[in-house]
Amino acid sequence: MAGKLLSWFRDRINWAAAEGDWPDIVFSTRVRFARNVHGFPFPGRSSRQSQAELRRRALDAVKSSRLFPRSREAALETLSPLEKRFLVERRHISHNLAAAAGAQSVVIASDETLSAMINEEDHLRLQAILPGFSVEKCLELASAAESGLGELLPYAYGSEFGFLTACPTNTGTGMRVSCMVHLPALGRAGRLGPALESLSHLGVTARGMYGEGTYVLGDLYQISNSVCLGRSEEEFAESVRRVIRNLINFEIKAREDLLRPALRLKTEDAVHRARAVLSGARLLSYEEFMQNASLARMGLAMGLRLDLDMDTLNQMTIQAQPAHLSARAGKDLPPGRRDEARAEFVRSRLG
Amino acid sequence: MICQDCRKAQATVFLKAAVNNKVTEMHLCAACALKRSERHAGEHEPHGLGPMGGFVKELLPSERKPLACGECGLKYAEFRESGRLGCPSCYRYFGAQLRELLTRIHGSCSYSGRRYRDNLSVLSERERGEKLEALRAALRAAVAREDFEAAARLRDAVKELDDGR
Repeated sequence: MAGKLLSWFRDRINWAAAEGDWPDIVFSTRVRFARNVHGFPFPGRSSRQSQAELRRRALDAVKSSRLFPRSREAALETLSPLEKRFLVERRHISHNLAAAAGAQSVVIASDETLSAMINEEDHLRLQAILPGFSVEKCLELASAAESGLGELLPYAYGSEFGFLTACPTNTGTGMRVSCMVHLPALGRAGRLGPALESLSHLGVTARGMYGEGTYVLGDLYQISNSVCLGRSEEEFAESVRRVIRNLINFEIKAREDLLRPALRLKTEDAVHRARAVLSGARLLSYEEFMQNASLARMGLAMGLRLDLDMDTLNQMTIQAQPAHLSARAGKDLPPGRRDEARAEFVRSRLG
Repeated sequence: MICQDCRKAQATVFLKAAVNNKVTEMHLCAACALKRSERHAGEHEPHGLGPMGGFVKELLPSERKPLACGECGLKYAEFRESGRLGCPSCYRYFGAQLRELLTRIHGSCSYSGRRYRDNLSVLSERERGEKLEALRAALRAAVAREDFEAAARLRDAVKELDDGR
């Protein structure tokens, strides 16, 4: 059972390709809808039996909708801890879903751009994820799934509040549009705070993943709409798009600054040192990998010759995570072995 | 959304911190996020990170008399604690409080997204309640004048609307 799910996944992650608009700054775009089914209590207040009934109905609807062709479906209670962690790293399930002990399931389309969580905080969480800056396409993809399933399942909805969700922060459109942006230069120039502040009135939030250091892990920030009630889906998506366009401009300026004569040598030195760590290290924590990959990624975008391509770097950002390394090794690697396996893996990819 | 540290500025930074394998979420304004990241750099564990529930609690109006959802039984006090509703009908039973909360979270409490299905489920809970009340009154009147055919029809209509909730 264990190997079966993991072997379904291809090595290459479509949504992490260096494709789409502005791939050198926008890593990926994601749109998710939170939906509940009329007549069932929300999962957090459902008996296991009622969760199982909801799951059965949701899976039936997914099947007859034909929205997820050649998809893979998995009941969380049948998965090993490693498989769950792998799915979290692959961004198909949340930590919440992995930790839940009821009747949870996930359905993943064969190209991995569309997936659905069943019985997370809401009955359904539908997600579309694409590489680069692709808000429109992503919204289209997620909306098609949302409306297709909505014809087969009666969503909990009222004309006053819109779609009804377990958490009031999702009430209304139940929609979250987010872009993962790579902002190494803004962060280094200390201009990220002001940049985000200037965008605060636009109704977006930024989240970063802290490692143990000062920098947000890999200088990757997730920018998403902070509210989802009171305006239309397109308006919320447009506000995220506008903010991303601004951040792209800020980041480009900050990168240009790093290449001015006074700083150029220092910048190139940092980038090449990072490249050297990636190909020379014998022990590499994920954090150290992300920090150096971030600099290398910026260097590539600046046109520095690093004998490396951005697509490989992007793929490694996902593949060098602990559960992915364990999956590659065919066994659950203990923490002490992972840094060694990661260094080996990264070296093998860099040739 | 308001910053959970200073409770004044608009929260623009949504941080997820992984500490000892536990993920904590924070909504902060840019200034407070910076303060936290400076603090964070020097120590291993950030302090005072409450769960989201506490955050919602401070935004929620308190109840004047004990309230509970007539459908799933969730008490309003429990909702204030957890920040999570129990079922779609909670939106009807806690309507007034939710209107206030949703306005504080989203800056609005009226939906203007895509419309879903033009049938019973499109009725807001308020509209549904009003319609139900009207049908029940008509049913009582039909029974009083011994018009049992009309009463049967009305009873079915009440049942359909009530079940469709």
